[in-house]
Amino acid sequence: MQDITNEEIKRAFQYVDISQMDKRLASNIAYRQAIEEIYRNINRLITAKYSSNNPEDLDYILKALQEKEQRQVLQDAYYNAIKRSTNKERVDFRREKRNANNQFIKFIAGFSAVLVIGCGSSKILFPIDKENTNEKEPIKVEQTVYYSTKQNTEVTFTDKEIEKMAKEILTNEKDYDYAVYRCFQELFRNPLKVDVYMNTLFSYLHENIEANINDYPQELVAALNHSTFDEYITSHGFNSIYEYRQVMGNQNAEYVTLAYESGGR
Amino acid sequence: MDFVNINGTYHIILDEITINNKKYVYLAAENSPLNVLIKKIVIENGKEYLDGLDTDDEVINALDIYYQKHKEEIGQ
Repeated sequence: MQDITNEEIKRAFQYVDISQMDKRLASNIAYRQAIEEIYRNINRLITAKYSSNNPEDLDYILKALQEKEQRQVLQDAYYNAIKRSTNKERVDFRREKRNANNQFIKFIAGFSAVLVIGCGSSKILFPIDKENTNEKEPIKVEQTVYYSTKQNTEVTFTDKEIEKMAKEILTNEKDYDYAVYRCFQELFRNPLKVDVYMNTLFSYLHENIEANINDYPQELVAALNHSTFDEYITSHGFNSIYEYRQVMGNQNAEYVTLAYESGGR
Repeated sequence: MDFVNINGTYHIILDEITINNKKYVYLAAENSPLNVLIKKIVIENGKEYLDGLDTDDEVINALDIYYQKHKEEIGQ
């Protein structure tokens, strides 16, 4: 495998916006041609770095992804793949099968799958290591937390439970992103009360954050400069948490995160 | 290249891999290539169906195997 420099990684990611991929793929031939080459490079880079088994090498890829919030796009795609794959609706394979000839689309689709699955499977880009979930899981959640299949089930949280989540976020220094993610994901399981829960969480975060605020991740500190979660949302130009979530464009999302919005730590 | 119509959306068949005597079909939406999913083939009354996987772990295992198989060839 050819050695890849970190500069090459940065340069490759400068020209690609994964979140715009679907839109441009359908309408822009020039973009198709450009991403064909760039995506080959990115996958080559990921493969090379992944094969090195050195987590530090992946920092450059991670940072490059974070710059354009692409990490969340890939993460959503990975969790969405898991969710869709367990849908038990059957399809008559032979009846619904068609043949077509579009090698470019197949290449892009094949590459995308490797990119999504590779990032998800690496367990470095995304915190999905189920083997250690007990250690990494201070918030008691069900296995389906990423993509709750119990959307219609009424889930309620007590103030005490939300306070516990807030404390976990503030004390879970190593896995801050993960703690925020899991917490928000949980609270969004009850869409009717999510605004109440989020403001309660904000309130507890304010109460429990310690004096030395610089010890906490910048994105958390920036978010807590707003007195309530509503204010935080409004400052981003949205009228409500629901609009915020909708505009963020996560088809399967039941969460927003402070960490991932700003690209994580 | 083959497509399968799933709920009105054509999905490209990326690969078919047999794992533990079960055949898994890997798909990606034609117009949204990040939209990946896996189905497994079940045969009933002589007809082949694409069915959902049973557990998250089964999906994750199948995804890992796909990645291990394809990471090199697409990286060339």
